[in-house]
Amino acid sequence: MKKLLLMILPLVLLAAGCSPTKLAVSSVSYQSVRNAKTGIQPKAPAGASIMVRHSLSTDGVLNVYVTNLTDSVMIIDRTLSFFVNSNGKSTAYYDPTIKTTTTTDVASSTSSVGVNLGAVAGAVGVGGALGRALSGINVGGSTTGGSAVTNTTYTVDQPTVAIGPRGEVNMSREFQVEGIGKNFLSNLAGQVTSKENYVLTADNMNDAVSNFSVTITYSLDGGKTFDKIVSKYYTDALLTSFVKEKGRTNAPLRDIYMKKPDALKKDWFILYFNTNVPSLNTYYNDNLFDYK
Amino acid sequence: MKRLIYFALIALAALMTSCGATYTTLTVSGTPGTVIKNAGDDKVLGTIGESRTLQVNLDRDKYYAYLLSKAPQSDEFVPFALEFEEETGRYYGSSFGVGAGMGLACTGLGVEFSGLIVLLAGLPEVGGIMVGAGAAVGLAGVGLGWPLVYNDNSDVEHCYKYLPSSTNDDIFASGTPFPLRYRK
Repeated sequence: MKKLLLMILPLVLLAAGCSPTKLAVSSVSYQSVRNAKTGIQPKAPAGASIMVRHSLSTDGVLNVYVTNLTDSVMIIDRTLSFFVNSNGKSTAYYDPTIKTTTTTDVASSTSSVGVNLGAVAGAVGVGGALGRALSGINVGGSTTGGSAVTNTTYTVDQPTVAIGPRGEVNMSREFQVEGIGKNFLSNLAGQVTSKENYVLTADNMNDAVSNFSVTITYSLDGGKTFDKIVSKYYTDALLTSFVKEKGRTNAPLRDIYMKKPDALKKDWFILYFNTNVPSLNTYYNDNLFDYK
Repeated sequence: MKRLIYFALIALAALMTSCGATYTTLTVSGTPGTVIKNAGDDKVLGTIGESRTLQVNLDRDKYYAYLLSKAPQSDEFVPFALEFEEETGRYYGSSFGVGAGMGLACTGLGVEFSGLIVLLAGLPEVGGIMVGAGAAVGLAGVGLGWPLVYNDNSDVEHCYKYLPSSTNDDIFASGTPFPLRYRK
């Protein structure tokens, strides 16, 4: 029995000695983004011809959806439609480069030859227990042959997109907005050395820590004349409250509610718990849109 | 020695039962009639009763930093954080169980292999007993270690235990609680 325990003990100690990744929540952060225009209604008013929905993920990835509110066909000119990031850099929705995708289909066949060692043992005169044991062992050899077919797909961007009456299209291109989202909040909280709670607010785009705009150029007369809608957004509130006592995470959340009582009523906001293990740690609302 | 082994076996059985559960229970307190919801799957977990508390079950696949509550007179769900405390006992218990399982499995394999050699050497009775005993010990080791290794319990893996939590509806119950004081 002692020998058995001596054999088991090292493995027990080895497994028990591994140090775990203990859950830690360092801070709770909040960020809200608003439309630079005031008086935007929850629903596009009668008479509006275009509505643009700006879907911003918790990682700050922007997807734009355009809705034609008229009974005519709407044409979007993607060469004259732009996204402008926080750093001022603009990118057109139309990408003139040709993307190439190559896929290879491989058809193969395998043939094998197996040798039973028991048969070999029998042939050379090995019998008894060893011969019986070897009879269960097969040694195999195989060869593979085949052919490969390569397919190349060329993807060309379209400079214009038509939207039918009352229809909606995705602008088919995603953009990463700088200074928005949970990675930004996490990095920002990590950079603060004093661990003092902070609040940043902005009343306009110029004072904001991050801002972006989207311009959509469209035509309702078959491309004879074009109009555009320019939507501008900026971070109007950014708060971080640090966890003062390990595991007591509701106090910083309440601190955010106290400082920003309308926190949960904003069109776009993110509440982010800065955790170090897989978690459900993000609560957000995504309802940014503009119309004309 | 026998008592020690019995105690260890009972403790390990209790540990395996605990580690095998797929959810954990926590207590939420708040105003009666408040609805509690999990934002992860948008599932209503229950409504706080007259006792002002509610027991809710949460999956153990990850850490849930918050749940949502909607007070009776409110029309919106408000997040409240799930507080926790560190608990290392179950992690080390689980690791110990895995180590014991690995140890038993390796020992059983060694005995079984030795028995095979004895069997091949022409001692079928002794060899057969060794192979059988080795296989039994090895299987016992796998049976012990497997449930502890292949669990999906975030709370054991990351050493935490949820504490009783309270909703934050009181903050919004009486309008704006504090004058806004922002600093840049």
